[in-house]
Amino acid sequence: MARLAFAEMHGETVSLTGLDGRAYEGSPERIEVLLLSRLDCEVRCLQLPPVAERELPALIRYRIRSVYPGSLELVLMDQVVQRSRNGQVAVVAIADRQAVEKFRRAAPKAILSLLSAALLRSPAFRREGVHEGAVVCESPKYAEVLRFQDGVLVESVLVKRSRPSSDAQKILRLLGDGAMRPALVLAPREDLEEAARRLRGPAEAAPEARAFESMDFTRRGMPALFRPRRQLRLPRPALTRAVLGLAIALCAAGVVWRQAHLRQVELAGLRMAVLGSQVAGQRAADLAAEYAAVKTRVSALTANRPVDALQFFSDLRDEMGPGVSVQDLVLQNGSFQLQAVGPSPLALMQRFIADPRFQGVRLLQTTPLAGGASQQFIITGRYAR
Amino acid sequence: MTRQRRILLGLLAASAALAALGSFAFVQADRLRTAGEQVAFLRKQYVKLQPDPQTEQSGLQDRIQELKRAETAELARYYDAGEMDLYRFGGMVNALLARHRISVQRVRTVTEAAPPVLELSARGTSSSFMAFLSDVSASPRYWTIPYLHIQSPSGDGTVTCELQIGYLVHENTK
Repeated sequence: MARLAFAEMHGETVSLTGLDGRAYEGSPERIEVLLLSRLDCEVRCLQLPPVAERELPALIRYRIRSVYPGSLELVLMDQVVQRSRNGQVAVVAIADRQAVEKFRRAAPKAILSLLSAALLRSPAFRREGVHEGAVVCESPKYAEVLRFQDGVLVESVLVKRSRPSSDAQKILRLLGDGAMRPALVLAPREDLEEAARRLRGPAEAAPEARAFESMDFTRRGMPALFRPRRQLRLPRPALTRAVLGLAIALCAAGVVWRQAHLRQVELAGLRMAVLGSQVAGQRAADLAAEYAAVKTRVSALTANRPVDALQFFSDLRDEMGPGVSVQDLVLQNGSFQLQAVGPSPLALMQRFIADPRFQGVRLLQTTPLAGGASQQFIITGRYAR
Repeated sequence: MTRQRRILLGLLAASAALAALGSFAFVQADRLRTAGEQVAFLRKQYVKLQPDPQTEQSGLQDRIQELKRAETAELARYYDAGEMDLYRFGGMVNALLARHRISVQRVRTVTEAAPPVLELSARGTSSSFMAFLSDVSASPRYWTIPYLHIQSPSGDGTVTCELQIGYLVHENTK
């Protein structure tokens, strides 16, 4: 058995009572199911066509507008859907948002439900309950008449208490003045006999009466209404951090992009410069090759120049100076042999050796002449052009 | 749209944005790294490719032009192939010797030599020979004297001379 309690708004506060109708004295933390008062919660039963389950909320919301006069913005709405042979019937519970919040706070660990919804899911009621007819749930402040058809709850009517006799008449009137007898009366054990007696018609047997305490309400299978929606809440610092992180990541990506862009620009410039250098280098290499070729040709031409005999004689005369007379001279392809008469062939040789125009100059022979003042000598060498 | 859906959509969008941003940053970082490597490589190439100041192109160009002028001037002193023959050359040499009053005692053609030459035996004064050699040297075309033997036996200024004289043809230089 689940730990149940009834809850009802008294002004701005919530009062809790047990199934016996007395004030709940246990810890609110231990309540598993909190049954809301019918005074605080409207119930409407809507016959619905057989539609897909996911379309039900929208359909119910649309249909409820025609049967509920209040503003749907100010209330919370939930439903229990029953399936029958003729389609489906939604038992729609409507309660004030703030009241629901207060109920939640009053029993923080309990699920919220309604007596009618709890009955629908009660194993005992499902097993032995009313298939056709009415069930009257009595409580100190009101009575709720539940009408069943084909085993499906099709109507829930609230009768507020004024006087016990008139209340019973109201209920009986609701049931068609004797056309329909209440099949079951539910009430706290203490009020059970009185409630059954009130609803008994003249010369009729009293309807079956059961105490709330005898109902085997279990939390398992109990329809939970007005469940708080689980909401993903990002704590604000986390959101701030996320936005900040995203901004930093954006900036970092931007910096990387900028750096990459600058590098690309630098790369393009360098490519152009290297290309220009390559072209210039190729041109320089071509020029150098051309220079080398022309120089080789000119060198070959220069090397092939004939020995200038006049220049040879002029240079020879400079070397020999005055006082030397040539007797015999052979010049053949730059090599020469000179036979001459002069005062100092050794001094002449020194001048020849010091002069780069004459190479390999050798004194082959000297012959002193009569008187000893001059010598006849023979010199060989090569004249460099 | 509920707040929950908005948050979920926001998270999805943020994840997608972060993924895109990450991919973008990765691609850019890779681009940056590749560009950096290429820049370093190209800088080295650029330094290598810088021209040597000693081989400045304009200076090299001038030197080439100068050499080409020298080559042209040098080639101009050669006879073209077929422009001259040994007999006509002999006539010119004879005329030159006669002009300097050098008497020719013997002339022989040496055609087996390269280039072909005239072999002369002549007699004259030393000054006339110098004048002759001066004319040969000042010739606008290259006249060559591969062999020259001068003797002055008497010492009176009269010299005998044996020489080989020829001319240079351009094709011979090739």
